[in-house]
Amino acid sequence: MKKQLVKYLYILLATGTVVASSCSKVDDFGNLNTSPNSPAVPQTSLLLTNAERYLGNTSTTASAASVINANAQRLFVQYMSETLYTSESRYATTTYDYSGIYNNPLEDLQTIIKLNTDAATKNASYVTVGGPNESQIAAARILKAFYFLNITDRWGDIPYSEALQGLAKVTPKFDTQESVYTSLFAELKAAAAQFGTGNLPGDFLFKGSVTTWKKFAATMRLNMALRLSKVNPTLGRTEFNAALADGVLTSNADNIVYSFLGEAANANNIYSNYEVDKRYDYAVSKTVVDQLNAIADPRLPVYADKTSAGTYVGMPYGLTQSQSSAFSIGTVGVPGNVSRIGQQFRSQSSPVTIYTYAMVQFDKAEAYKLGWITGAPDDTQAAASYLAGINASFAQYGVTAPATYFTQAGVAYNSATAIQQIITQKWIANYMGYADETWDDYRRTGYPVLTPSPAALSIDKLIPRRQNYSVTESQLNGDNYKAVIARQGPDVTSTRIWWDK
Amino acid sequence: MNLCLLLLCISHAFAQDRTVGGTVTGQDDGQPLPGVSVKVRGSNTGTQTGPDGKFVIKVPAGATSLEISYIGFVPQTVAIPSSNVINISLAGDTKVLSEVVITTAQNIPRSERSLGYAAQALKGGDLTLTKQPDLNTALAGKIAGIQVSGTSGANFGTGGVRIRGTNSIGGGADPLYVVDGVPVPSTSVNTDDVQDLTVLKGPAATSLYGQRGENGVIVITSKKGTKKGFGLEFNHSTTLENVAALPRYQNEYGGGSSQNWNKFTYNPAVDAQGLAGLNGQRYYNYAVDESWGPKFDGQPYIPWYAFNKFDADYGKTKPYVAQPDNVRDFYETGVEVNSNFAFSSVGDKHNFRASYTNINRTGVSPNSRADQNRISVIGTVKPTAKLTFTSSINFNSISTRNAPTEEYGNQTIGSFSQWFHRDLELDKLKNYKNPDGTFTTWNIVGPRNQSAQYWDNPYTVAYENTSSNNSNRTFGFLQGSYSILPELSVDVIARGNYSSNLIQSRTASGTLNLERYANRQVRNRENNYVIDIMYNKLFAEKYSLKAGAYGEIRVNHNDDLNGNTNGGFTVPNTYTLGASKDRPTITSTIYDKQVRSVYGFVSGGYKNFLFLDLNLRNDWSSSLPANANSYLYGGASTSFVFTELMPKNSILSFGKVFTSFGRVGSDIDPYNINSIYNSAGIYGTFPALTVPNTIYNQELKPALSDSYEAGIDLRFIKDRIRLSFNYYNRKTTNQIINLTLPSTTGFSTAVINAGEIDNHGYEVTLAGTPIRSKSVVWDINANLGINRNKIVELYPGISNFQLATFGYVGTPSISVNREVNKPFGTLLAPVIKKDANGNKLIDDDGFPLYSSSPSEYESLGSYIPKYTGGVTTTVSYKNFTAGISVDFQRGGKLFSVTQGNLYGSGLAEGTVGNNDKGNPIRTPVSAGGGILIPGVRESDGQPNTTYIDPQDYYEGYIPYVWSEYTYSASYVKLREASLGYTLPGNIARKISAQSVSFTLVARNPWLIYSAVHGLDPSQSNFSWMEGGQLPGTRSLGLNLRVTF
Repeated sequence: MKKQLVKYLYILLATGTVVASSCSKVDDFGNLNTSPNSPAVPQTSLLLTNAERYLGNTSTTASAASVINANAQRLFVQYMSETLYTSESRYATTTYDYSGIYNNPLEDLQTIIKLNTDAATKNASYVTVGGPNESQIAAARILKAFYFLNITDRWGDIPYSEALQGLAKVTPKFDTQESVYTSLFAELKAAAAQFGTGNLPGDFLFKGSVTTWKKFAATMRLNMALRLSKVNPTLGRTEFNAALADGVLTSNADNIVYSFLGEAANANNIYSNYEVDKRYDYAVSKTVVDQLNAIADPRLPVYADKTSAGTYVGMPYGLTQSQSSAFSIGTVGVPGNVSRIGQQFRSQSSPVTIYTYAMVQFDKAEAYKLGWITGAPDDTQAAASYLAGINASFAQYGVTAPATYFTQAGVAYNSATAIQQIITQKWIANYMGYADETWDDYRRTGYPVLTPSPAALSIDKLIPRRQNYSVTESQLNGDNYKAVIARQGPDVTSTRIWWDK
Repeated sequence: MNLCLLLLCISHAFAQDRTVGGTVTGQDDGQPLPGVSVKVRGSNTGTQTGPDGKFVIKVPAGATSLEISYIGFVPQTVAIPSSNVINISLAGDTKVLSEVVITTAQNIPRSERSLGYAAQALKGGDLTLTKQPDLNTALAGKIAGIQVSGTSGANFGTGGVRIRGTNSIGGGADPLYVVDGVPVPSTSVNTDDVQDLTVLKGPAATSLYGQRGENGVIVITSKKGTKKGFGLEFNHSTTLENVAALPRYQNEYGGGSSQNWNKFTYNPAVDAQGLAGLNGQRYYNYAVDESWGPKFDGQPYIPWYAFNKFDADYGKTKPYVAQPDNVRDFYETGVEVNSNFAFSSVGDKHNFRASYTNINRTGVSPNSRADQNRISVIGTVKPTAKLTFTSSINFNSISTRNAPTEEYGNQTIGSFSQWFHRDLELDKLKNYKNPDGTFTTWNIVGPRNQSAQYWDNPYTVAYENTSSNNSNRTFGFLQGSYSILPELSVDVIARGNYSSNLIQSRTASGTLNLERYANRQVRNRENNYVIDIMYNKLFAEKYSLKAGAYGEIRVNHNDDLNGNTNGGFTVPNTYTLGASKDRPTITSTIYDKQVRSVYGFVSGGYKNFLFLDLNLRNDWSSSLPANANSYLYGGASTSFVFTELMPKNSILSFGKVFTSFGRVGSDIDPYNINSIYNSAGIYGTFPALTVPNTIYNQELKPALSDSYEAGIDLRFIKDRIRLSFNYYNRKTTNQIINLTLPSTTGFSTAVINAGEIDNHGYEVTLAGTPIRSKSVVWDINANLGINRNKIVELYPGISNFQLATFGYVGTPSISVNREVNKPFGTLLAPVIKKDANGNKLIDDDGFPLYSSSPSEYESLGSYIPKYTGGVTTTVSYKNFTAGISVDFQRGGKLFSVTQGNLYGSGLAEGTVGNNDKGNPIRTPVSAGGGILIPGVRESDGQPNTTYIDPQDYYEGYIPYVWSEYTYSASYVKLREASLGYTLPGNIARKISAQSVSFTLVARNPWLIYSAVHGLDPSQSNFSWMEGGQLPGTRSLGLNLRVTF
């Protein structure tokens, strides 16, 4: 009996010892909670790659926003018509979400700037691998400005000064578009002046070329300045000339282009729609085909495919679904009775142009006409730039036209209709490019002349003047949302933003 | 100090003369009875049986017999045999309903009267009433305060369970399922092996399980051998399953988006000669996947297959008629063959049971099947009177093939109720593959282009775009228990749970979407080690004391390898990642976590009518910041059986009040503390990295949830009427949530400790036995649960938590919100505008005005039900037993994407019919057709008189005004019905069987009430919405059960 008792005691003591010895370190788990799945520090060059790649984002989920190739804007300016299901071209879709732009590229760029600025991190190898601190900051600031410009031109007043601060500012206020523009002008100037020497290894867009970054920044300012032609011509003029002086695009070789690649993960979105999803949602619009046919434009065979009848036929814009039933776009192998978008715009690796030399020439033509460059309206210079713009576009697409093209009515420069002609040719030149610029021109000048969808489903039945904020703003940032609609006007597509006068 | 006490006890014990031991079991089910009083006759010496029904007692010299007594059972006096081993089987006292023994946290059996919190128990038989293959569905309507969100039988899915509503701001989670101490997913529970099941609801009941018990715990005890000697059990059922509910479709108009016919003109230059006969015949636009086409007239038209040279009807026209059953006919009769075989052996020193279950099930969707093999072995050996070893091993293999998915984009149901033609002939679709290997589809681009526009043939999806999910799980435990003293024992337990899953899916080469293969392998491992010391003693026959102390370490490891091809295959029909044309996407993630815990309880009772329980637990979690990874919590509960102090009376036979307080702490998944960066794919040769959209939090604290509970249990007229009522109030502070942020912060969520969330509710159970005679027994049990949640405080500056949003790109969206101090789970959506009198405001064109911007969205109410409940009843008459189970939900909103599309694409019955002028609404407005939206004109306040085209309205105008497709989710459903017959004992014995029974079972036989036409809210695929939901199924089967 005694023996057994001793045995129990030993067992208890042994158990106690085990428990006690593990207790001394019971709260120490070592590195167990360090994720083996993701890096804890970022190579900043890789963040830059991601921020650039978002330009070509083609995600169709509601939370992600397209930037340079957004279907809505291409529909608003009637480059394309929807084939079977037409609600977006009838303006039934009004609410777009910029969440993806803030969350992804903007936050990545903000992080690049932060890591390259903070004394504690700027010399870390994962930061310096991205290039000289100053150059990384400069590139990040310019790209950031581009995204903010895209957002403000679509939605109007936007969170800017209080944005991207994480938990430090959980409900960022909306800044007026005017103040955003002022900030962006300053930001772009300062950033362009900041570049150091050395490569930017993550920069696939401009291959680290400081010159291209600077031209990109100046061209962006040029377009921004022109946007002020109605609301603040004085500032617009000053900024326009300042941008010109800093050096904008000077040839087609300078064109700012986002290149897609011959791989599924980086495919052009029209290609994906036609050949991966096989939806064929978009045909060339009748507006484009009729306009180009009217002036026998040599770009038509580039812009559109022939139908089964061997002709170019545009899909009428914004029909009801019942009406659109009579048209068929066919498939890549078998054409239908309306034209597909041309091969050059729908291959897997077809690029999308953002800013082109032609666009710059049309910008200058308009500025000459406005008297911004020489001090008084200058039709001679405007006509020359206008012509240079058309020729730049021809060169861009490798087409030529007989001399009669330039002398025919509607194309030949006419002082009385100059702005309409300039913007119309700019619209043609920018076909299937960064259509926001074209939509901005339409809103600012009323050109090209576009007939809204005859079956519009929007309240005012007109082409949208802006896009509505997403429901997350009204529900998660309610007070600031209420303040902005009180200031800017109702959150509807007919409300005009600051520069849209 | 403790040690000294122990020594005293031990020396006291050695003063006795003789040791007698044994087991007390219940006569009905052979299950061990814990807490039974064992007394030496004519002395003050006594003890109680332990959790396993065993007792050991020191008997003074000269004593001859023991008195065994237990509430609800007939007391017995037994002579002490010379072997010193007594096994006693107690008969239930028919005068008083047997005292229910409830298995509580950590498998500690307790008499129901001693519980200071709500816990509801079911017997295994309650779960297998109709052989529901899914445990959660089998619980529906049977437990107060739990909500089961079912799933369609079509995908073999498992339902979700919410105990006491949604405790958590993020939408809640399923409770913890614990089988014999091992936490497992609900799908690993084999209802045939369940002895009993207890639902523990609040923190006072669950805190011994730690953080994983925060959503409630379902404690399951496996069956053990019940009969001394060898036992054999055979159980078989065959069940047939059919589609029950489908939306109501129209059968007046066919495919297309225009009532105008297209005319086919034969062109010898491009068309094959076989089409010559179709020249001048009519056809509609096959590319459009909706039914706003021409009216059925029985006249010839060119069907889609007439252009397919391989089709028997190539080049022929067909009469243009509706196919009213084309969706229903797609679904087949599913067959489930469920067999269970078990044997057991019980002896003085061992108890062994092994069970094998095989379920072969074909689904209602063609080519879908689910097969299960389950083996479980549980055994106990008792080499000496004081030493017990128990071990259990369970192996589950579940293999599912081609279970159809739900939601909008699904290629079968996603089409049938959202985008389809009402004239399609199923027989023609069955030829889904042409002899040349190409696939046919109804949704062709056009007469001269057989490519699919938006949809594959549903049969192509079923037979070619296949998927499979093979999961294997092994779990079990090894336990050694040693009784140091009759009242003191130690246990050492090692538990393991290992699972692996292989999930594959393919998109076949040559179908609509790009060929694709995906392969995902998930492995989970959990090891769990426990040491405990238990003390159990009755003092002076008045005071009972039970206590336990535990130390536990839990180690979790998960890894997940997930790959899919990109850009198609290098060689068609090669379903392997290596065939990927572009770089395949491969992700691998590893999760490691450890939780270390010490915990214990003390439970005291006085004269079997006053009880007090205390428990305490401290956890250390690896997933919390190092300086905040320790958290202490616990609970106290008390119960008072007041009828023990009252004179015996014939009205109130039992009465108990109870109250409890509990706190439970919880942590979070690993890797939510330190910031990380995510891989973001690659651009050519440029890899990309991105800042995650979530802000991680190094300041995180453990979450604490406090709960108070009080209740009363009453039984009247010899327990013929039983009523229990309880109220609970739960306050969660510092709950760890992924707070939704405006994206303009640069992030969309942040891991934070939320301020405060309150949750309270009531649970009522009313049960009775209206008839109890020799030949007829009628039992009925009804329950009701009400739960209310409120967010008191969220995060400084943020007053809303957005649970989810739904909408198509650019369209108005609907969102589910949890706003501070507002009803929980509010749906905010665009609405049709109304005037002060509630009339719809109509524009001059006859269309209603609706919210054009989010600032005008309105609340449609909460998706949380007002109350949920159920009624089960069984009647037995001689050898017949019949039972039904009904469950219901009142209130709560549900919005239906299916309904929106059903109307938008002209499939719904509501898109046809006559208007008040007596003309078909699809007739052009100019010819007297159209619909009139009742309301007043916004311009002049006069009643609207302008008719509009239904297609313009349903398809173009309001498909995104989600308020129009939001319904009450109230429903009443007959979930189960059964009718059984048991062979009389003398006949059964002729085949040497103990019992033989046949049962006719019906599952989901009748959706008695639903406000959403053709859809079953109890099966919605999300708690607040439904989209492309699979049709509900009902089944009918026969069950045979034989025990030897």
